[in-house]
Amino acid sequence: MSAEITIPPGTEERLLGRRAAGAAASILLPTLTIVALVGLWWLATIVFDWKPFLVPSPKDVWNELVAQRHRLPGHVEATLVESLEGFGLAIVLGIPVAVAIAYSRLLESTIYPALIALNAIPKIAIAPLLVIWMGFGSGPKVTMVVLICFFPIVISTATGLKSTPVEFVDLVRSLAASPLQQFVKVRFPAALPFVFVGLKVAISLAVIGAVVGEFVGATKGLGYVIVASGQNANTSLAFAAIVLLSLMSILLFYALVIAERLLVPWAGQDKQ
Amino acid sequence: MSDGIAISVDSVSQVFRTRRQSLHALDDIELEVRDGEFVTLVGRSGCGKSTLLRIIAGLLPASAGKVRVHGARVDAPRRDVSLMFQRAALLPWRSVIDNVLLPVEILKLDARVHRARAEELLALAGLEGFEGRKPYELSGGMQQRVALCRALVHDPSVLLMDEPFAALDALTREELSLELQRIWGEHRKTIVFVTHSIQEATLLADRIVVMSPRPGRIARILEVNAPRPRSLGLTARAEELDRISAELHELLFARELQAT
Repeated sequence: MSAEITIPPGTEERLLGRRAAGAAASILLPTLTIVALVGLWWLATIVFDWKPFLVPSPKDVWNELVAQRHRLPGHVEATLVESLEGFGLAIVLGIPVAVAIAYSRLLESTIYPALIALNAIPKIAIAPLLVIWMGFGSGPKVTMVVLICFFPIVISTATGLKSTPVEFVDLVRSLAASPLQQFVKVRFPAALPFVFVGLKVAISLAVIGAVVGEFVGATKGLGYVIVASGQNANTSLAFAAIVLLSLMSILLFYALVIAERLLVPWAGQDKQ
Repeated sequence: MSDGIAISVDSVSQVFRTRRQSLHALDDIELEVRDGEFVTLVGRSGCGKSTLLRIIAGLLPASAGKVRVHGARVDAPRRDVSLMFQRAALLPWRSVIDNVLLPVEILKLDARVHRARAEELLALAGLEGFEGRKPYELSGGMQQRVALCRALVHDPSVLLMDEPFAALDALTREELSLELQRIWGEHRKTIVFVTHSIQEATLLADRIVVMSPRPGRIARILEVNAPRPRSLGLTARAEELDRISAELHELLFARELQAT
């Protein structure tokens, strides 16, 4: 198997250079897009002479962010904690349900249609009910996040558990592995790339769920800030809250992308 | 147990029923494989070679008849029977050495003893220094070598191979068949090897079982008496192998063996 390969001098540097260029481009290009969009927004506010209480310019929003820099972090924290708690709870609840669906034909045919029916309910419509049942604390917000995140996590995990490559199944079966060994050593790890698809969908929805929960009745959180600033026509503050929400979503999403690279480095690689 | 017979297949038939039709995959198969013998199963697609292998492995219950390995009836997978597939089926999240050690973990064997054995096997397969690599960093041929090490690590007495080199390019394939012959020389196992390749079948086999399709039957069994190690190069005294290859061609392309 040993092969003598002569590598032309400078190849490694060139390859490394190309990889670094690729990494830079993957950060630079999206940044440029965002900068261009903000520029367009700014230009539009000047060209069309929009009133700041209708559409504030990026500068107005920035000034508002700076002015409220002591008040806003508490609201960011509230929304972030609700999103993460709900997301975590959805994982803890969703994965066992997915396992049950993947392993039992009976449970699949009983739970699955019920889940689809439940998911068809517009979750926003039950937000006021959650407030009636659970009050104005973080309870209804976390519940809303769970309700929204649960479905994509269950679907993707169950799909992953049911798509174990046939050879893997034959391999462990031929070793007379117990069902638990099959699950732990092969089926669950093989499902991880699918699980991450669901998690990435869910984390984007998690923040939306928290904000919807806050819209209906809250005393803190970025959703509350948006509602409150709407009531006294402080559009700049509403925009500032939206910017923070977007940033939060993006950061949470990329945190998951990094976790995926670490935990599932083989995903996307040419298998076999 | 010690009558020298590793595998006996006794009037095994297999019928797959779907809602619309039933497929007669195997019909009354009789086969005995001696301890340490290398048997290749050759036949056109759909002649039930892989099905027969899965039945011997205990992965598929036969519709009729019985299979014995070392005298014991096979009704479930056995730990002394090992399997290899067309694809390497290496777990992508495990390193090369951990893939080789998977059977050791599942069978709860002594980890330290078998780690040494795994390293030995990898060295024998020319994979020294690759223990820590991940499967996706290896070529197809190297992945299949790792799969072979995994199949041998718990020292099974029977190795069932389902077209293990079919997904590889022709040169790698030839290289690996020669290497399998060498490794088989050092670790004498009973091997049943399914293949489409006449060259592979003749090069490796003590006996070639030629199967015919629909329903899968044993058409002929050919003995290969050429001395080992066999090779394909100029130095090979290949008259015997040439004669058998020619005979196999005749058999496989004969009218009565073709699907009608």
